[in-house]
Amino acid sequence: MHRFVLFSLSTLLLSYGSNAFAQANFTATQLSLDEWPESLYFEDMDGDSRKDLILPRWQQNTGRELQIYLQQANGSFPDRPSRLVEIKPEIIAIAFADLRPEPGQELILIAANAVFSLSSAIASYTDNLKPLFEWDLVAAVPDRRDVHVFPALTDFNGDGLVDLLLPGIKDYGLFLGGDDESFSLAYRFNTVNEDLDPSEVPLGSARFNTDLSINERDGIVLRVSARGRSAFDDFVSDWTHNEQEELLRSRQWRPSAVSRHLNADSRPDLVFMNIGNDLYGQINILVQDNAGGFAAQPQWQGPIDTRGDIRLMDINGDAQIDVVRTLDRSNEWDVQFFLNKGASFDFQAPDQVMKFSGYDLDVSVVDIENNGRRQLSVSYYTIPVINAVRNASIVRSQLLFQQGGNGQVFNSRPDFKLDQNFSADTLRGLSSQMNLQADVDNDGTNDAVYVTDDGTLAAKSIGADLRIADTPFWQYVPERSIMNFGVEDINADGVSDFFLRHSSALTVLVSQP
Amino acid sequence: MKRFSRHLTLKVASLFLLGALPAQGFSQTNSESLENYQRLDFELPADIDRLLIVDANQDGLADILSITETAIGLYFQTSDTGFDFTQASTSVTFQGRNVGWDLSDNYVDSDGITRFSLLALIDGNRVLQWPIVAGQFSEPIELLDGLNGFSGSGINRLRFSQDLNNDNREDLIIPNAGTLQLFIRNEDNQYQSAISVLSDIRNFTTLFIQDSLERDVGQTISIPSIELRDVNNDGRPDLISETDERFDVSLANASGDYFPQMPTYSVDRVEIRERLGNFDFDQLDFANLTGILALTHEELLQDVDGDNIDDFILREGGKVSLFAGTATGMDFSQPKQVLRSGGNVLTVFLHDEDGDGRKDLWLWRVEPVSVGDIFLWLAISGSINVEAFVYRNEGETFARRPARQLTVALKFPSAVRMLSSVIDIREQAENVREQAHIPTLVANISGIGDAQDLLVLLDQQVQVFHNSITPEPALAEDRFLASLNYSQTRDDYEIDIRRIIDEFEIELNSELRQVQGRSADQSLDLEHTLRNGDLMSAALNADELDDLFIFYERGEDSITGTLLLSKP
Repeated sequence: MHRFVLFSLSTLLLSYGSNAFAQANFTATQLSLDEWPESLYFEDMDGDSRKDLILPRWQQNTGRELQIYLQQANGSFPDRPSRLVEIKPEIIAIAFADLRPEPGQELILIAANAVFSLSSAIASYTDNLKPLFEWDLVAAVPDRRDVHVFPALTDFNGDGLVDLLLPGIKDYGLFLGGDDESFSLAYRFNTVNEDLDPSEVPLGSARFNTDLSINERDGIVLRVSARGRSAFDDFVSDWTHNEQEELLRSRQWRPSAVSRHLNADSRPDLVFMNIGNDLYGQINILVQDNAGGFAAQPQWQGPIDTRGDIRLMDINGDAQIDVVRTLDRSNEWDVQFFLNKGASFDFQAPDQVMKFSGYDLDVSVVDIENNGRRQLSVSYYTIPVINAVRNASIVRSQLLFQQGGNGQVFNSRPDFKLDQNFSADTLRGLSSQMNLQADVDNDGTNDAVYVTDDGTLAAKSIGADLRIADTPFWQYVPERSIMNFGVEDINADGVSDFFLRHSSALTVLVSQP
Repeated sequence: MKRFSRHLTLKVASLFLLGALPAQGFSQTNSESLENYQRLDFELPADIDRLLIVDANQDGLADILSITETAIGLYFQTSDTGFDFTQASTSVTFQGRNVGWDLSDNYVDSDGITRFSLLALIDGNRVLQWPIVAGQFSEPIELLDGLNGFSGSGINRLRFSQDLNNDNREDLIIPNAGTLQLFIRNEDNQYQSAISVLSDIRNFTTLFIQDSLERDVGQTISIPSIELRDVNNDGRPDLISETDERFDVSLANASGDYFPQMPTYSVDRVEIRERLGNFDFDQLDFANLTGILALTHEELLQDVDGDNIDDFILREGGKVSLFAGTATGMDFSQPKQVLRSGGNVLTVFLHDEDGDGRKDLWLWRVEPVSVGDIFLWLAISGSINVEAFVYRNEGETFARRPARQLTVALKFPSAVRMLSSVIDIREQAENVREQAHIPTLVANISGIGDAQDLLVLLDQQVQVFHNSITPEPALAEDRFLASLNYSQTRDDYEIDIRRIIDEFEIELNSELRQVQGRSADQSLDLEHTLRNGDLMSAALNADELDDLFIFYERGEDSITGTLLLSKP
């Protein structure tokens, strides 16, 4: 039986520090869980405009379930789940959407061949589960312990009803939501380039088999072997059973597609990457037309070097998605910025290239002043050998760049740089990166929220010159060590709220007036 | 600009071999076929996913089974002409979205005659059998229905027909969500009630991406084989099922249903973990991070006391408990022995250390590692001692105190250097990726000498190097701690990871090095341009020579190639 122990502190915590800032009050609820809270979601499940906490859990006796903790008026959460939703073994994924007239969001349950809706307010599937449509999902087998949760659904056609973009066995399907929980298949598209002759399709890289193990026969084994790829790998074999062979091995994968705003209108478009006819990587853009439809073929396709990480983000604040490609060579990093030029890109000529040196580079774009003007945030780690020998430390650098002039996306030199030293004595501060997405004091400007060396959650103000203050203006001292934390506006008051993950517990901080 | 794969022509790649293969230096060139081989060109449908070698009509000649996304076809071999590849002799088209199929020569047709059969789990709910009768797939026979199983998306090989109870009748294994349903077949071909056993089904699924465009969406499913062996010395295979939550053993029954509906004995791993406690960062001892090993556990099912009945060893942190196996189960009422070790116990296993024929207990410990050590290792190299303590088997139990202690010093470079080495290895891997893959095959084509022949597919030729590849000797089954050069008389060992990394080398096309400087002994000119060709061997007839598939192209319209069939 699952054990819940709740420390519902429901305490108003007062900030301290600089008087120049408004004080921030938070209600803290600490939930003790019996294992690491791997995934958690905040959705308004009862229609009171306050987001509720949803924890997907698995237990040996009961299987998968969603535990829903409804947020109370004072921002606290109850000591036990307010609702439990059994996830039937057939369900592969879920999503949240307001489909029914009753207040709050419903669950969309996605199985291998069909999609259903379910209200969490009704304790049973009986007189509750409603079939929505049939669709052969790209995944056919549910996970015994986990359920996949789709990110927030998109309203493609601006009718105020969410739509569903689902990967299938053969292609993607876009299902437009209608009244009375109806969905209609409006558009199908294939992310695989079917124009390619199979004999021309690249086979990918050589295959590497890595063997790192400790066993009584071999002792410690470290072995890597390479094998070229062939279009005929395992094409011919004997039918007889080998006891070592798996009972089943099945594999079904295709390039992914996402909806983003690629042009200046308000309608979301589609973008995906596959192999072009010239055998280079190829970005494909499907632009939604004025009538809410999509063309049979992408309106724009362009080759791109597929090495490194290719990420979509709006880097210049024009509400159109841009592309950032990050490439590492040893601990040297090239970050290439490609601006969206009206749903097209020139991947041969980056609009800017920035170079960094360090480990575990993280690049993100933030809007610190919440005015649409973007800043670049970069962090990485370095290990100065001399320091490490002397006092055993690692340095985390946080860099901030303003938008640049003279055709540059961002200034070539950082407007602000903060180096933080961590050693064995200040290990807790390493648990989480500095977060620049939160406005703790509700002054309209984001703050730098971080975990201090002694494990306290703290916030420092960021000046107009991007300088992060030397001392924090707000701190929260958790009862347990913070493993990581996230930011979310949980009670829709425009002030950032927080959830703190501990080893086997969770603290939710909800701002109060 | 990086393509998904290099697009080098094999002409460029052949430069590698030029030193080895003088252009005019072949001792024999033949445009028809290799010596002692019949050449059969083929053009197969492009949607064939794979070919299986079967003797479907049980005439002693292997036939070829083709698998597409919707159907399975058979090409029969005849003794005079070999194969007719113009079209399959018989085929079955599946009516189902998700089909798991298998083959068996263990089922009877509607007349009660044992036939080679195609079996399929259709949409997870029924099992059909298509026997081969008179060279044709006959009408399907329904073996089971009303099931609730799965076999992955599309058409997949599902090895679900296996003899679980050694009665020479194959039974059925139906995968379900986290479990396997076992259907034991009786003598009258009826099935016993299903037994549900937990299975460690590996499911890797991605259904959406957030920002990173290079990731695909889809699913990989892998179900390991079930473990069957006689653990209670009654001559009947028993069933062992291990998952993250449970360790279950089902002993075979002497009468009635072969397996009991519930496991004969179980160990609840969840309960063990609850007893040991969850990892809690706030309880972590920064001066002894390896102390976290106190939360680990392991279970061994092996015979300790020599009665050929497996006993049970449970390690919980540094506590090792021995339970006695019996003919009817496991006596968990009280451990036969409990050993307690201080320090950070890494693992235990059984191995006869003193050569008396009895398995001794090896208990491995690792020295304490602090956070400070780890920060120091960021910049400078380090060493950890791993110690093994050997508790001799005294017949019924192990000795109370270890008779021997071994120390393995594990030396490793600094994290900075390790990261640098990882980058070097990655660059080495990138270089390997840029090398063109030259299809090669080690097979017995000539029958000359004790070594195997090497075949190379290059420049529209198959080049054969007789007696050129000496197989590496198989590793000894009874080897023990081979990488340590273990000796019964030596107690101190060292593993230098720095040296291992420094000597690290990734090699592609390694067989070609063994014929560098040699001329090919035979070659076969191919009239076709090779697009993505390859070589594969198979045993299609009863002679000692391998048969050879030469694939020219896997194209949009067809799969083309040549079969070289050895002539007895």
